[in-house]
Amino acid sequence: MATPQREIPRTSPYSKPFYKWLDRLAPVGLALFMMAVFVDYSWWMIKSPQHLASWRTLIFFAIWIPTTLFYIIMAIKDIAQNWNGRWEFAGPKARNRLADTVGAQKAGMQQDFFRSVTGKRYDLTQNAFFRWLFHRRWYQFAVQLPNVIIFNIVIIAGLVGVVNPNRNFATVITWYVWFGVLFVLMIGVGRAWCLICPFSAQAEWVQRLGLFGKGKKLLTLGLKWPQKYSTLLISVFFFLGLTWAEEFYNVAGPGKPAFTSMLVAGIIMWDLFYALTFERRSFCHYGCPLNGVIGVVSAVAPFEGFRAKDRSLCKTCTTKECMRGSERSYGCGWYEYPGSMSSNFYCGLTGECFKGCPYENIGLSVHAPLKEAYQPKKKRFDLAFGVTLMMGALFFEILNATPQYAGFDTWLSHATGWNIAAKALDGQLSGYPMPLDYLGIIFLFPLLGWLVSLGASWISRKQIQARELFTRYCYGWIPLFGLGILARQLPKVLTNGPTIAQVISDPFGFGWNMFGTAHMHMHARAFAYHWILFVQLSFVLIGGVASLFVTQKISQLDFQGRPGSGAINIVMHSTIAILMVAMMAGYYYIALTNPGHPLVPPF
Amino acid sequence: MTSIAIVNHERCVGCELCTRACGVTHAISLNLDKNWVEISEDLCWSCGACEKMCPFSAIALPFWAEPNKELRDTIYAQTRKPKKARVAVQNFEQEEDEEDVMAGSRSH
Ligand code: SF4
Ligand code: SF4
Ligand code: SF4
Ligand code: SF4
Repeated sequence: MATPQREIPRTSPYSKPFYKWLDRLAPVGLALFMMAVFVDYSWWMIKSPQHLASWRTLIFFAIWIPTTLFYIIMAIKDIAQNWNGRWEFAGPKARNRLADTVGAQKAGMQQDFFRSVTGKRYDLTQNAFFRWLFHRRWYQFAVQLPNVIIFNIVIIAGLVGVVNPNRNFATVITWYVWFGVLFVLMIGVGRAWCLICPFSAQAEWVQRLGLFGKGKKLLTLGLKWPQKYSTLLISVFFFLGLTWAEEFYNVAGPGKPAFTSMLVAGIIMWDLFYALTFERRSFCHYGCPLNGVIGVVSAVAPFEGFRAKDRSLCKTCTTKECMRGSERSYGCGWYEYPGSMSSNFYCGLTGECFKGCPYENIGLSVHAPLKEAYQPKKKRFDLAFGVTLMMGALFFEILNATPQYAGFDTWLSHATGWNIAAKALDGQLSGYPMPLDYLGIIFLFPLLGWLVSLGASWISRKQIQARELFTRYCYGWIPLFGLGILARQLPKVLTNGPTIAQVISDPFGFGWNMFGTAHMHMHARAFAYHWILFVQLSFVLIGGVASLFVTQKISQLDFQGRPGSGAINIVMHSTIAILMVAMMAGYYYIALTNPGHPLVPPF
Repeated sequence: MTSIAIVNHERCVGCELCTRACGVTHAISLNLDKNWVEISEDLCWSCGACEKMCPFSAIALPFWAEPNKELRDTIYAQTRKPKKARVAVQNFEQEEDEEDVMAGSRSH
């Protein structure tokens, strides 16, 4: 604990008694909330007589008590340290005078790199409330905690709850609610999911030995992630692997809740391993299977992430608290430097840089959506490649619902003997999905992107490298992918989502009634609107049009005036249009070939 | 096999902290188009100062690299007057200072 009282600034801009007490009591409130959930669940558990002293109860308490205790003890420590305003912001330092001369000159030299396209933007941190909020140490914790509680209940529910997936909290929350919410958050805000991610939250709490405080010691070996493997593709490959495993073991759906539980617990353990071994949030960069998807789709969102307001000032700032951390804050866990950020791709919205910067030089702007996709000058090949791979995975998810694919997949499984291996692996009986055709379909899309780029390069008489064309233009695929994958989740979310009313009152299917909604008969498929198909098609259409728009902008910003740029522009637009039409046709065809399926069109 | 520091282009964010750390031979410069730093093979004497400085471990020496003091001294002799002559070359010193300011390294 910091003893010297004088360290606590007296001139905090946020020292009004109301704010001071809010700062003290908010974490206390959160801790009490956690306790309340603990007591409530324990009470219901003890009250359900048929399960008391059974293995279910034992597992429940074996997970429930230690985790809650851990959080409460940590919380008490941090609350005590926060009480005296130890992490209060003293008010911005005076601006370095060199910023207007040397700094401006240096920033000017990189004008091309930092190009920002015109348009309206509003900086949230102009608002005193947001500034106050982002300065709180508990800003991130407050949104993480509820999520952590939910996912701990998911783990427990999967293990001890009933097997019926539609009555089990684990399946309903993870696959019907979370998967929808996740995509809405990505498209709406960016990495908002990462801000509240319960997996990394817990790993990070252990790594930092605190829930929201800023301590001095870290519990980690702090190894560097090897340079050779520093690429987004790791995350994309984990994503492809997970998608495959999820289909193979039918985790999502609706399969055995225990699988869901093991999946969630597995991710947390995997994350914890990274946090204890590597520095910062290496897991989020090089381990999380969702990192690629979230990062890429974030480009659609209208938030640009926490970013330096004035780059000239950063150019003269030698302390770089935003990256390195300060008394009040940790350095950016996401390996981001707000002073040179040009896309929201890797900002986890943790607000640490905001607390760290002594000049209050960080802002969080809202602007027109899609800008983050075309604005960055620095476009990365591995990201572009990842986008095409994920597009492949999306098309696989569409194709796998067609009878033709099912027939082909079964045939291939038999022809190659995969069905025997599948049996040994305890997967789906038909061996679906056969890894070869799975990967085959996925890799078609990078191939398509590459062939188009080769063609375009030829159009430019080899003046523009195919690699550059591929890298830049594949950013144009992002909106189509984002909205396309949201459309893919829609049927499941909309038709099964309502079951949440039951499971929040009766999470384990034991016949509890915590909120009085256990008997609302909101069956699965109660919301099976036939118009889901049309919502899907319009999402794809919006995504496609957005993609065309981004492609147009990329042509303008990155390739204008270069040889063959006009023709290349047309080729790239056509590619997007073809992808969009293929995707719409796919969704329509699925609906058509599944009679009785909620997607069947009303004629 | 090269034994100079290597920059990880995925993670380098162009903050130029390493540029300041490499104060003896000034081997690091920012690539203005790519916003990552680049290292001059002729100037890097593999001291490892940049590696220690980089907050994101985006720059590192290969494990076999040894500080090449000879190279340092050669470069040093070319770029700076020996220490005892400093007072005599007041003008030169001032220029140096300005250069330092450009690099923003005047933290004292
Ligand atoms: S954002 Fe970072 S680099 Fe810029 S002034 Fe603040 S602490 Fe310094
Ligand atoms: S840039 Fe700032 S807000 Fe974004 S992840 Fe890094 S520290 Fe958090
Ligand atoms: S200190 Fe690290 S991140 Fe910053 S410019 Fe140097 S290598 Fe890049
Ligand atoms: S190893 Fe030393 S000389 Fe080489 S780039 Fe790093 S700081 Fe400069």
